[in-house]
Amino acid sequence: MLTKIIRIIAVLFAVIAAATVLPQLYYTTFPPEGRSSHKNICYSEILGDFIISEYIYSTDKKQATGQTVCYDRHGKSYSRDSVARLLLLDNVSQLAYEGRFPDTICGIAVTPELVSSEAFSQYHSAQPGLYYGLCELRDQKSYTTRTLEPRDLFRITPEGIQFIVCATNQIDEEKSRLFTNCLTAADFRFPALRMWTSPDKNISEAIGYYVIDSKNELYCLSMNQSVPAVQKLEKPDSRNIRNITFGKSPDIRAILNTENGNMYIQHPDQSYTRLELPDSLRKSGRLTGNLFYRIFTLPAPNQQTTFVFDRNFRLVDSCTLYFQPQPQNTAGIFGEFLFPFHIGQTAWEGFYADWSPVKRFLWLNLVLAGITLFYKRRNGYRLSNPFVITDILFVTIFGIYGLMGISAFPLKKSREEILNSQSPEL
Amino acid sequence: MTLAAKIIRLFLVLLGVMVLAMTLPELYRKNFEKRPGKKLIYYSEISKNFMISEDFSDTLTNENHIIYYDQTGKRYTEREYNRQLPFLYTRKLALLGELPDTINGNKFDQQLIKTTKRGMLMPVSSFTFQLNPLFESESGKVRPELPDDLFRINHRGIEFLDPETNKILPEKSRSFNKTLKAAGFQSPARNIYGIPSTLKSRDDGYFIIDQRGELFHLKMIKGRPYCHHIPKNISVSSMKCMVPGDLYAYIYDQQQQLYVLRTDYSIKKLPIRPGNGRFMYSSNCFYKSYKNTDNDSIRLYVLDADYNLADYHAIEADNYSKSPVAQTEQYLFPLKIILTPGYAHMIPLFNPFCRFIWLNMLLLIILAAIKLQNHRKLYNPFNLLDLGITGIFGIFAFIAVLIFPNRK
Amino acid sequence: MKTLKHLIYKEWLKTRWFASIALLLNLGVLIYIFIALRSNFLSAGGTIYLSTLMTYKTQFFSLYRYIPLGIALLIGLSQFVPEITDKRIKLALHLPIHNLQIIYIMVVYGFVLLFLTMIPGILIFTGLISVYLPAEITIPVLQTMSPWLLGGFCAYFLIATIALEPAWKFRFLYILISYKVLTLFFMYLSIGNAVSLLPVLCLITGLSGIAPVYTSYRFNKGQL
Repeated sequence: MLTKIIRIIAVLFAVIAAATVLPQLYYTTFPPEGRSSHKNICYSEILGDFIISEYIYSTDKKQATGQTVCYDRHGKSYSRDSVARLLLLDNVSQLAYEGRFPDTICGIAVTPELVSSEAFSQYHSAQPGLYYGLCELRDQKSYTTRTLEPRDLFRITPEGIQFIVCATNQIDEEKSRLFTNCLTAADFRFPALRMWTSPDKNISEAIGYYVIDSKNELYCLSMNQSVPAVQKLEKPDSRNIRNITFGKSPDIRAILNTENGNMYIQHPDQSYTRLELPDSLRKSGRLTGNLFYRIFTLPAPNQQTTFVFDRNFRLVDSCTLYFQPQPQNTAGIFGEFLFPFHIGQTAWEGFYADWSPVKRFLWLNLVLAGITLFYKRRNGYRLSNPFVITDILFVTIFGIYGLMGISAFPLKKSREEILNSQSPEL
Repeated sequence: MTLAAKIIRLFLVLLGVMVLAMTLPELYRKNFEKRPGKKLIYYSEISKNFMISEDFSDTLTNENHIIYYDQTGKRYTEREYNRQLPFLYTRKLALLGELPDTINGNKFDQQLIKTTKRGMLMPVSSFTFQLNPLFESESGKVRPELPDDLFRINHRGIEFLDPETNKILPEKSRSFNKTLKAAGFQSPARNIYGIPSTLKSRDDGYFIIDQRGELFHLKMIKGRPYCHHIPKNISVSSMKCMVPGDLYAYIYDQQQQLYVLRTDYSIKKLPIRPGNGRFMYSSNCFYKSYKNTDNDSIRLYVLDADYNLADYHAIEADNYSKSPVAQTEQYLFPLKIILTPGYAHMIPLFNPFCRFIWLNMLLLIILAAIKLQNHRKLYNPFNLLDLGITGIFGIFAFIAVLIFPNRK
Repeated sequence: MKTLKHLIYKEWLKTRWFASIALLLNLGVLIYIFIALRSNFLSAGGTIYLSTLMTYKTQFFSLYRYIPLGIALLIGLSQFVPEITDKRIKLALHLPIHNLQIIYIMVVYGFVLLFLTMIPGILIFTGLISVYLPAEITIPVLQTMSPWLLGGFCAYFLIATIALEPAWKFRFLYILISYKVLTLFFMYLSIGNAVSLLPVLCLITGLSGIAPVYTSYRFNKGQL
């Protein structure tokens, strides 16, 4: 009995393995034909509207080239030349090269250097990433002298903060005590749930770390000439903070996501502005900024929504781009008949299973189930045996994966069954 | 053992020696090498002195101090040292508010800082694909765009290839071939040097060595071919092309001597002693400095804007070879075999000092004793060869001879 | 002549299943590399794919690195392990041919089998990738894969040498030296850089090919 149950588990593992490997092999061998067009969207400060540029591959498969067409939301098309004049902030280097960069944009005096220095781009995710709990605290004044370069890493445990000297793997007791006292004085409850800092070394030096303590309060931890500096910060709302990204632009100190999906901008004076974005619980987006605007782009399956904010983070406009999914070629359609589902894994979503439309794969599954039934009866398996029924059920549900699974681990006949099938009826 | 087996055994012993000569010295170094104090040398555009810093940090003993001095021996504090090198410590001086207003009469602003370029020059010959994209040099765009074809130069001349279909483009190939022939180019090309990426502000084309060793400059200007023969009287070993500036490329000749190819096609020999050929260069609008680090010294050459020698200084640096661990190594290993980077070659480096001879003699005597104990006849030629190899290759041969025994 | 045929048949009986697995493994991996290449080529477009490949020197074929070693292990171990368990090789040595000849028939059989398992697959692979990649890329790719193929042959000869060595103490030492020798064949080298190492590797492979003579010396007296 036990062996039979272990066999079922083995068959299920085989099904999972087949569902992971086979579709990947199939779609690699028969990739979709042709290439879908690329779409790109920009906001024109001159026009006050979005301009969409699309790179459409020519239908002639031999040609690699395609054409770029530009149009606005109402469908009016523009030539590439006129587009450059409407998207001044996005084409600085080209226009400066040609000597066509204007002196003022929308009434504000500009130079190419000014516009370039105001441009930035970063990613923000609503979900936090990998976290080791061991971080490097840089001194705010470490730019003044090399002797203040960090030689230790810290972690915040239930007992307090511990600085571990890298060379010796020992705890620096004095420094740890000093910092623990400072944190306790600020009402910090150990251990820390999570810490964030900027990946930019200079910003990380200046700000330090944003730390969430065990009561979900927000603190800022930094070090100034070896003296700890702890400050309790106001949270944007009463909810717990899910993720923090530090801003690359001077007017954005940090971008915070709270657990009910709200996104906030923290300004350098530590006040918050809530961004009017839809529920962005599981999305990561891109933030780009230029002289006039702060633009958020949030992706979704087969679409992408762009939100344009002014420098005060008031929503100016938004637009959703729809991407046409690639038309399925015959291999793709055949794949839907063949594979009931496929299992994949991504860093962001973990494991997932994608099911094909039931009406497609059900036919092959039933055919395979019929073959299995026929085979079992031919070889003397009794249908009253529940495990035989399970086998046929596997094939009906899991189709080709089920067939591979039960063939890899064949059902062993019991002694009676062998004897019964060999000797004729007495 | 038969004669054939004995001879084959000898070859196996030599194979063992080779393998051990690759493994043991490396194992020794990895286990015992301590990182020596780091010495850095830079040239100050402000005081025209050579600024030297010596780092005594040792993370294992938590020691942490650095001393700063110049070539006259005068000591500086860290801040004074930073102030002498504004191109290197720009951010730090800016934060401290100590950036100079002018240098050499020029205003020290963003434009001046942008003229700084840093990089590394190496005569390493490494494989490069002889298939490159020929960019449009004057496209009117701020960056060159990736073209739809790739070119190669074989015995049929220049050929343009369409990557999508893997076929030759006959028209373009014919037109460029005509220009190449008119410039005196003889196919096939020995080598093609250039920057085959779009991450540069301007395309300078490619520099090609033809079959006779002559140097040509190939570009595509508004779709039309441009090929110019560059006269030279040196033999080019390798070239490193530069992003746009006043130079097209650095050239190494067969003796690893450095030359520069300037944008007016003149080739100037740099007043720099080749050494091991590896240089860190740092250039700004005032000076160009080239730093060469070898086993026991660091040499810094400072050239002016016209690539003439302005100043030079060398400091002794203990880069492992003077440490006691390295001294011990001299007594142990008669040679070591290393693998070169780039094109992989196994190079034996023979120990120039003969200090290992004592160990070799000792091992020889021990081997003779072992052989006698096993009742071998020492006058047998193969046993003598064993002893001879041990005498030459020392510890490697001793181990190899014992691994592959000479059985009766 | 008849004994030759019998000997070869005996070897075939030992190695047939393992050689079939080796052949399938070889073809499978090479064909997978090709379909992955084709898929990436078609989705990125030839221009961008070749440009990326040449800039970053991506080794799209690196999956094949240890396959020749695996094939050498499959064929070599299946051929020689039965001989050394219970010293069964003495059964073969009673045949009326010179001992060294018997051993070399076995070794040459293994070499030919290895050749037939690996090389046709490589030839097919070359033909397939030449559809998409120009010669300037295909040739350096093959030059980079050559040390791995040579490593497979060398590993097989070393397995034969080690198996024929009677004393376990020396077998262990030979295994250590063989490991170090084989690292020369399988180390990471950027595309095209291996070509200068090939002469040395060929020499080492050739030497390992005659190495079984050294360890099989004891059979020459007709004794064990």
